[in-house]
Amino acid sequence: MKLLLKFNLVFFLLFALGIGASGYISWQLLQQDARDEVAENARQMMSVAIAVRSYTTKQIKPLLETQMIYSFLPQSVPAFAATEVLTELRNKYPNYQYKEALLNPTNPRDRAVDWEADIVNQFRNGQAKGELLGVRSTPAGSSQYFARPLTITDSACLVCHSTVDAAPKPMIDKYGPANGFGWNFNETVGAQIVSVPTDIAFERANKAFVTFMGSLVAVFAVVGLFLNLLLWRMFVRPVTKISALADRISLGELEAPDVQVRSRDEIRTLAESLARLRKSMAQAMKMLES
Amino acid sequence: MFSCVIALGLFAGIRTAGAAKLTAIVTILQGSATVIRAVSEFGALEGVRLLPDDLIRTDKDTFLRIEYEDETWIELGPETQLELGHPTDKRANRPALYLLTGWLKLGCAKSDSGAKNSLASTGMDLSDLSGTLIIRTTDSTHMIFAEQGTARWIDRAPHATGSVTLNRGEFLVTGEGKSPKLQSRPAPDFVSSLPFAFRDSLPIRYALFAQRNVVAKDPRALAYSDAEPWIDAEPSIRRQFVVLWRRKATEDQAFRASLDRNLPLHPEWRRVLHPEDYDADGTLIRND
Repeated sequence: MKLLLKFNLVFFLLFALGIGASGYISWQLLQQDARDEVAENARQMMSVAIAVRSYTTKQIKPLLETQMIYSFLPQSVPAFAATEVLTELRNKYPNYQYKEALLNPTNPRDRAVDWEADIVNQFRNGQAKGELLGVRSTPAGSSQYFARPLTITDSACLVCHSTVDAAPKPMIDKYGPANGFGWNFNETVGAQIVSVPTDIAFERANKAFVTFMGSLVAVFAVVGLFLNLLLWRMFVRPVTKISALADRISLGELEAPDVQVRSRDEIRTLAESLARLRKSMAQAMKMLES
Repeated sequence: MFSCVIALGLFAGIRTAGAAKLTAIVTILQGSATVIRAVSEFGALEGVRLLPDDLIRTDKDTFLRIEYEDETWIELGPETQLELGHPTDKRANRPALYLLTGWLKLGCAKSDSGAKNSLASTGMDLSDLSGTLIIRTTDSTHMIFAEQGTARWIDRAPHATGSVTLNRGEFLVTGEGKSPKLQSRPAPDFVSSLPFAFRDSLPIRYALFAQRNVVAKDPRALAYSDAEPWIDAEPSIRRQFVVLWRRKATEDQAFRASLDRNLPLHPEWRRVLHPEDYDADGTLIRND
């Protein structure tokens, strides 16, 4: 087996091991980054929703109290404000969703659908506490949800949601007396649910992986080519010439020209040794002839 | 020259008001409004001081807010006519604040002295006022909404003894010859026609204008057309104007002629315009 072939076999083996190890590590890192990014996006979106709710409660609601005597303004309701603000975001990020999913909502659009109701019930029966993260499939692709329970800890909420008689009349005018009543203090009535698409982050991770691995393969290929060239110029070619010269000498061509090696290394030493050997042989032959 | 006299009169009025216990200030004016003070009138401006007994008229699409130092405030809607007085003041044993017509929203300050707030309008008084109240008065109907507080409606018709207490959120519709109708909620037509600014709780702005000396806009002599709604108001309110404008009626021929032309609507002016119709004892001797 030729030296160059041996070298390339070893090189390819090392190359494959390197690519495999790098690929595995980078894939794991990029996938974890994608998962973290999706979770972070969901948490940020939830933080925005919480901030909007707080702003509405502290600053908007007091300003609208007088108007609310005459007509119900959902803009004063924290849940409505948060939903509206984050719905605006969907114009730019259509697969991002925020919903205050309630089992018994005043506004029908807040009614929890099946999977949302499952989340709310997990909070209600204690299976989940604080926060809940999960992934589900949607027609638009995979989506990660991040949910927090909506529990009645402010008795002011019960003004609108305890009984029909206690509720503001303009609210009844707008939404009717059928829904959104019977809530109790400390009861978990729903959940804030943020849904963030995972596909985008994972597509980005995949693209980064392909780019990284492609670059790595290209670098290895260039390095391999360069090493082959180097090996051929520095070892294979001079050794082949020296070998040919040795063959001619062994066949009696003692006048064959020496191999010229410019480098100052072991190959040159070998060439010089062969040249001395040839001269010694030529001298020995002359002595024998005389 | 005449304008200078009016301006001096207005200035003197303001100086007098400075000594008064309660001076009102126009703190918001959207649109235009006219203030009648004694025998002159001027255009309202934000920051203008108003005095007890000033007559205020807002024009179409106008919103005007008046505030007192004690944080009592009065808001007027479009096409409203009001005789100004602090809601705790009385005049001849009736409320000093009188709404002739239009929209009024009153915010009563919490009184440390326990003085009760009240106001009057054609044929009725509202007493024991607290919180925020809205009244709409037309020729034939009063609509009263106790937005945040309470009120007691008193019928001033002769021999009437009726009164109705309005609690927070209750709505009363009354009118001449109609029995009062108390509702748990304001009527939809009342809500739909409510001046939009009445729907908001506005911040107190008295301090913003308290140190400013805003000069009245366009002072001029009182015109009969501006005084007419008051001259022809219900007897209990219009009698005061005979005293107030007696001199003008004798000196201003155009004013006098207008008064004389409509004398059947305000017969109390006959003694001023035609003293020859009465004998020395004040008995009417000519009845033509």
